[in-house]
Amino acid sequence: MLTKVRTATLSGIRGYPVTVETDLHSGLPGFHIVGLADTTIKEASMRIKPAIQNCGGHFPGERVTVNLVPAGRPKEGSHFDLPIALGIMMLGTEVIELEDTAFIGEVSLDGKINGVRGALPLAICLRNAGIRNLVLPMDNAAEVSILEDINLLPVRHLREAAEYVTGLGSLSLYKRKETASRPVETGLDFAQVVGQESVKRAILVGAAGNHGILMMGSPGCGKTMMARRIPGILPPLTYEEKVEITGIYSVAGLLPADRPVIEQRPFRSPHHNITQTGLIGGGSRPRPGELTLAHRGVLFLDELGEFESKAIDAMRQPLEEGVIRVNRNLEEVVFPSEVMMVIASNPCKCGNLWDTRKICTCSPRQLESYRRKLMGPFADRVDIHVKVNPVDKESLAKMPAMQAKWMSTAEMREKVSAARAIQEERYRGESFSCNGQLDEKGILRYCVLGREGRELMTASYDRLGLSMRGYSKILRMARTIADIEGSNNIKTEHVAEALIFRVDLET
Amino acid sequence: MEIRIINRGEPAYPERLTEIKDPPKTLYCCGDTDILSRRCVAVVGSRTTTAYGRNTARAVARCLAAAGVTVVSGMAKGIDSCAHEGAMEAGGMTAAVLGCGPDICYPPENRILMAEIQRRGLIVSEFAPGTPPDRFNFPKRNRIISGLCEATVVVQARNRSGSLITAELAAEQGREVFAVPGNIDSQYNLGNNKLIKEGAAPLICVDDILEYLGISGADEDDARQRLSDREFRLYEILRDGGEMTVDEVCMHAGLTPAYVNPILSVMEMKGFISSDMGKFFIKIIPCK
Repeated sequence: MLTKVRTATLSGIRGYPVTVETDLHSGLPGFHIVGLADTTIKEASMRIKPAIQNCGGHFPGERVTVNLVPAGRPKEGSHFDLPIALGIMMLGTEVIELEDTAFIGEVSLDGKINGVRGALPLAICLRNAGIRNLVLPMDNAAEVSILEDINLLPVRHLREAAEYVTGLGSLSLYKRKETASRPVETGLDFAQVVGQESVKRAILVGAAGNHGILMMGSPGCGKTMMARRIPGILPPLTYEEKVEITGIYSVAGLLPADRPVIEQRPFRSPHHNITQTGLIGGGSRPRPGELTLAHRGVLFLDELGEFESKAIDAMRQPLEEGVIRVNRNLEEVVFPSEVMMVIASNPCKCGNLWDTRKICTCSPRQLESYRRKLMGPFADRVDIHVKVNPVDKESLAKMPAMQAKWMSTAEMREKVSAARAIQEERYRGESFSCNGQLDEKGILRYCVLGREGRELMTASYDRLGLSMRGYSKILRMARTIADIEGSNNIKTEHVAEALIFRVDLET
Repeated sequence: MEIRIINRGEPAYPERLTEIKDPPKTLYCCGDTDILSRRCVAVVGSRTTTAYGRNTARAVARCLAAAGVTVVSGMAKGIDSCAHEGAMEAGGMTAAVLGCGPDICYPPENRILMAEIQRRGLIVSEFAPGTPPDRFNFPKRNRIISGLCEATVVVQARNRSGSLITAELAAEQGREVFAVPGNIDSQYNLGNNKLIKEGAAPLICVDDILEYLGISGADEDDARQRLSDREFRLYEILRDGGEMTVDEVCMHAGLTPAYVNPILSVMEMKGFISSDMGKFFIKIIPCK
């Protein structure tokens, strides 16, 4: 006697299909699960027996062996409860055709089906494997409903699922709610940030080309305030991006119950005592870290100087490649991490270095070590460096005429969208989609300067001692500035403006 | 590098140093000792400074060095380092008086600067090679800084800066003391402003010191000629406004950062302005 039930398991943020084979054979009574199952699956044997009995089913008195195919890949998760339980309940009974139906769900001792982590990526891989119907916990239905080409059959109780597979009952199809994707009002607008136009300009350039930004300035001059407003000027998420991000949050178990689909670009702002694993992800069963949770959104590191050097250094490679590779028992897990890096930092440990009205109490040694931490190889990989100064209230009051020129979120978003559209068009068929990702080859191809521009670059090369990386960064930023200004060619003034955002390792 | 020992009474011993109350018995020198027989001016100040202080120290040193005056300072961080750098930028002479042996670099971060001074100028100390930089050595060496020079310029000093000791010693030795006036709302300028209150000559433009020495200054840079109209407009704003952030320049000019950024950047490349701590300022202080 043998039954087969289809389900899936997670590897990082991707799923892969698994078949649960259950067999009954003679021998001492027992229940064995094989096929590289982790502890949560092994424990399923303890949950399933009472659950089956509590909903009136019969648990066989013979020897039960459950095999998870492919047997060589590690599997994890409590969502195996439902397929295993059904596999046992189906033994020796007539069942309906289940070839294109899959099951996920965690079972309580009373037979109730609980929601699980990572339902969306599981559903995606099952859909790709040709599954038409998915039986899943009611709690996960809203999240998975973003997928349009798979039938969702939500269940609340093991009994419902058992009646469905034996043809005694039917399950009703989940009705998708019309998701009106209206922008969520956060109440955050760049128009509320006054007198920081030069920083807003830098942010505009950063958002338009997906360049990282490092803001340095005294405490309280508005760095965090501006960072929080950055997701608002980024273009709205596409359907594919929503699916991708919702999948990540689903795996991380961070989907809010009232908002099962992520509609907004993520904004993550980890506290500075976060560990390396917390930032880049990992663990014995790899979980996404902050870099992945901020995928396609903004990762904001406030007070970079306070982060552990080890954690900062670990972000270098993901920042350049856009993916994180974690090697864990037998498998390599890849997490996406295409983030817009936004960093804020004080100029020194006490924060008063740049404020002429206050005295900096740092010793020269403290200044040096802080500077070294800040201006290390990590910050060098961030394109835009900008200084933030406190706003002088008096001079603001004197210049009412300027207020009309202050950029609002709506204006900035419009410019960003226009610049992104130009980049998308230009980079169609390339491996990159925005200026911030241009590699050396892309720079040679797309960042061509005129004679004057080249002269300015040569002059700055000599004068500022730019590194080769610094050189590339200026060209990438100049390309973005040209795109914002709607210019096909990179003009001299675009290069000149890019130079103002350069990394100043001296400071 | 060879260390040359000059004892009191030898012809190479700087003459001005013999005039002070307690001249050192021996000087350990590394570099060109002749530069001390030229006209010398000390440019000193605090270690913790603002961009204004560093910029001024450079400008004063550059101006003096261009006129052939040896710039003497203490190679400490901040103003002292800027003074040495400014003098060398102008291709002039500079001497560093150390509070430790002439073979020891203190602060260690300055080793590149020290090598450069050794090569193009002079490192001098009354302490034997190998003497560590003890705290109490520094006030002692200050009397040599002021003693070597006809005048001492205190660029920027906090309330209890060591450079105020140098100024005091210079006055005791009968040498002229100049102090650069600074904003009175900044803690960093308390010391130099206090010197002016106590009778030091205020250095209101870089030419003042040359005038005192009786030398004519270097030619004023003709910004107007080398800058375009757009650039000169911002140059004027910076000249009148002093240190300014990009936003302040924008507000004064009624322009957007998108317009102002490239111009500032080009002017920086041309060497007219410089930026530090998020602020832009004119690099060359006009003399008139």
